[in-house]
Amino acid sequence: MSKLLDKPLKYFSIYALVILLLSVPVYYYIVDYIWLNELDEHNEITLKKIKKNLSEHPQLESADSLIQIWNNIMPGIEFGQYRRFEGQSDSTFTLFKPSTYSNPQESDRFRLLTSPVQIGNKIYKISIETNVEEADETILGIGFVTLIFFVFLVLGFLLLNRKISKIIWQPFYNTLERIRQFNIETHETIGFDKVPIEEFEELNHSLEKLISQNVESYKQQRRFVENASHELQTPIAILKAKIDQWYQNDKLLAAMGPELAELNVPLNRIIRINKNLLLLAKIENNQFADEVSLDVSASLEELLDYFTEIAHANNNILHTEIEANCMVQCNKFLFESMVSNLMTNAVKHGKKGETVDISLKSGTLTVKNYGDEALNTETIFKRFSIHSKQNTNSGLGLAIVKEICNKYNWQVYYHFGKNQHQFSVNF
Amino acid sequence: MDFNMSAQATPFYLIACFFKISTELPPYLWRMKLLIVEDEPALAQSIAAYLSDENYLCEVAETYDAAYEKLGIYQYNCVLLDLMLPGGNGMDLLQHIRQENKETGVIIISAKNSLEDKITGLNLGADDYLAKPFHLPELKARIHSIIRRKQYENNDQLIINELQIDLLSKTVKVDDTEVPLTKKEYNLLLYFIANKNRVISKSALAEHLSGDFADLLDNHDFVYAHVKNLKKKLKAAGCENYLHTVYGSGYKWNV
Repeated sequence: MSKLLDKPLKYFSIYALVILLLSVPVYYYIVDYIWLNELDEHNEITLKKIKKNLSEHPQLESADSLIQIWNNIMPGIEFGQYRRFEGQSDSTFTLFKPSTYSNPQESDRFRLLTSPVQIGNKIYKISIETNVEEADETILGIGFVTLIFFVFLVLGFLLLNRKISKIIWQPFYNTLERIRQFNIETHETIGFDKVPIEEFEELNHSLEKLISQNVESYKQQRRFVENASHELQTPIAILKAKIDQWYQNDKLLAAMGPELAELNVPLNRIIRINKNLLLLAKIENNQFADEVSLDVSASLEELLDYFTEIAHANNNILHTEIEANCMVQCNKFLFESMVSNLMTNAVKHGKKGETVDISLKSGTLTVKNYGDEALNTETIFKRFSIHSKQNTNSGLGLAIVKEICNKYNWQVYYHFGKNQHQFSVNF
Repeated sequence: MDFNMSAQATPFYLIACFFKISTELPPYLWRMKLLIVEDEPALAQSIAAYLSDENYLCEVAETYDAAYEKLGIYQYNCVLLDLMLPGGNGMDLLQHIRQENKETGVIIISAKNSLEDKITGLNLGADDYLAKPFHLPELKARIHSIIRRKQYENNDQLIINELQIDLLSKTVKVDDTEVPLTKKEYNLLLYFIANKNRVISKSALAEHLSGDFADLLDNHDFVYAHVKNLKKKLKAAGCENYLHTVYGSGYKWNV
């Protein structure tokens, strides 16, 4: 994955490279054109000056010998004869000559101006030549400079990019960070800072709207669960009372006693589910704010009193190893709910005749019971995920354990090994 | 709404009782007057039907105003108070009761089961708080315990024929022989006595024995063990067998 700003950087760099490469020949032609023009002008001026000087020295009747000497010692200007069919007029052209001084293989480029000039009564052909930079050298120079500029350009892009991403994209990163830290469960509304950039402001605005809608529906859903559970309590209470009332009817009891007793089983299940849903809703709504420094060891012993009986009735042997004086800051009821859920599961699902181990050692509560196969660790703490065939579960026990642990930042682990389910809570 | 049968029976019964009381019945068997403040008629009816007997007289008020009116006219031994009522809040009624009368026992029966309500209620002078849904025997046991506490502070003996229960020291005697009961068995005994002549389901017993976390398990076998032990100990002490098993359903304390 590349960063957003690196994408345009790549294309900018390629575009810059193309343009700069195209500019090399253009520069060359322009430089060469200006260069030649300037040399032509220079040659012209030299010619005019020579012509003017010559006309001021009319005594040069026959200058052959002088011209001979001149040609021998003066580079750049040469007097010669026109050949027979040569047109006697001014002409400008470029000429390559083998280099005189450097490597003989190389040739130099010259710009020439030839013009007929009359000395005495003889017409001479005056050639004024000026050395011009060769094309390859020019191109090489321009190319080299272009390359340097290109490097500067890319470096500049990189720096600007970094700067832009720091300055211009900062609001975007702020927004991103806010969203990342946003937790719908904490009831906070998300507030973005005001940004002077229209797009980001629009983004923030839309996000705020989206999130506030979500928060609202989340709250509604939670309130719904709580309200629904509350509303259910009364009809359930009526059912429960009615069954108790029917127990007092001798005829009914004689005819349907066991059936009546069976009614209590699903009813208790409804009550349990409802109670647990309510408990979850209350934990989520932070209704267990009062915390004490709880003597977990003592609290556990108290609960074990009850669970020893249950385990006994269930043909389980309860093994306990409770470290004394373990203090934890929490709500007593929630702690008891958590432990009860863990212990109930262990006793309920533990293999008959096997041990159920409960230990509290160095701030870790561990509940172990024998079982056949590992539970699905992905869904084990989810609501209403089915772990066993027993249909008396509320399906919420472990969800409650998880929720309580989350509330107090306790770590809860599940581990299966040596045919034992093991739940640990680290305070 | 009065619970009609009982209302009609009141004066009649009181006169009849007057002589009985003075001659043979101990004072805790006076007929108690209960007010059930509950807006759900079906529930109120069930509670009234379960509680009403020769000892208890139940009346029902379904609204705040009806309850307020009744409280102005009659003296009640115990008021069962729902908090969410048409026309007002049960808490206000509680305050009203406490201003008028210190003796009336008040049990809040609420569907909300919130800790704040419980604390507020108890601070305002409620004697107990029972969250819906509850088992009727549980309610009756609580009423029994409150009335005993309130009305008979000096009488800490509960006597049923040969059975003597000292409520202060929590000891049980059968014809002066002490019966060594565990705390659970003692509680169970009081529970049965409070619900005498009623069939109590195992589910209700389990809930009573294990409090908040009973409903986590469906196995009520441990109830059986306790009941069996209680029965055995009472029998060994020479107590008549009042505790009967109702096949497939539960138990009944017959007196």
